[in-house]
Amino acid sequence: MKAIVKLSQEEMLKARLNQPRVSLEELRRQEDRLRQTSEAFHKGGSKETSKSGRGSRAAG
Amino acid sequence: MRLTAFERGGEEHRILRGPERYWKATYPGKAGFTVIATESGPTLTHSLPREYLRRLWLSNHLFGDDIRLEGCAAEEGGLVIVTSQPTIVGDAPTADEMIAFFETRHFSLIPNFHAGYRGSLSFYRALDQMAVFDVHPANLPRDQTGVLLPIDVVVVQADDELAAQLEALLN
Repeated sequence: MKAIVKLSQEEMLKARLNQPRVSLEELRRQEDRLRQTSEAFHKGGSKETSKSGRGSRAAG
Repeated sequence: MRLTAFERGGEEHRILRGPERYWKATYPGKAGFTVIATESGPTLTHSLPREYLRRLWLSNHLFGDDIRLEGCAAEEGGLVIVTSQPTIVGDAPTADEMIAFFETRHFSLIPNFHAGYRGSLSFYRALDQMAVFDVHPANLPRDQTGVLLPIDVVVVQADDELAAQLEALLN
């Protein structure tokens, strides 16, 4: 399937609000598939979520 | 709705799946991540609640999302922000498709800069100093009609200091 990348914000909103309904179990499987693809995309999957810039300020 | 029904969904949120909408609850005292300018360059860091809410608003504005602030809660550890957004049914896009998505919106790929997962993509648009981080397949699914729909990217309107650092990375 060719990806559609040139939609307006309004068209993207319409697409979001017209998703098919699937079971929660299917949503869980979808998350697993996407997560596996992202991990492969990361080539190792290690994270670098540095929080050194601000420390605990976000807790306020 | 009870927060005990939410399960860990990643470093930023707990989630509750629904057939029409996904619910997200931040961890107590946290409000996701953002990117700020530091002496060593752009750095991913904890977001302030107002920055987090601004990020969600920008996602609605830029990418046609329908993120709604459902409420706030107080848990041991601090404030929790609860939101919901439409459930997307889809699969993973390719890297070329993700880059095309942003380039059609006049964003430039920032080479060799990753904020979030190692290897995630980052983009910057100088005309309005808008930046998008943590772009990877799970955050930009392609729905069943082929439409790419960002769901959890980190959107930041850069201040002048961050903008200068990001523009330097483009050159």
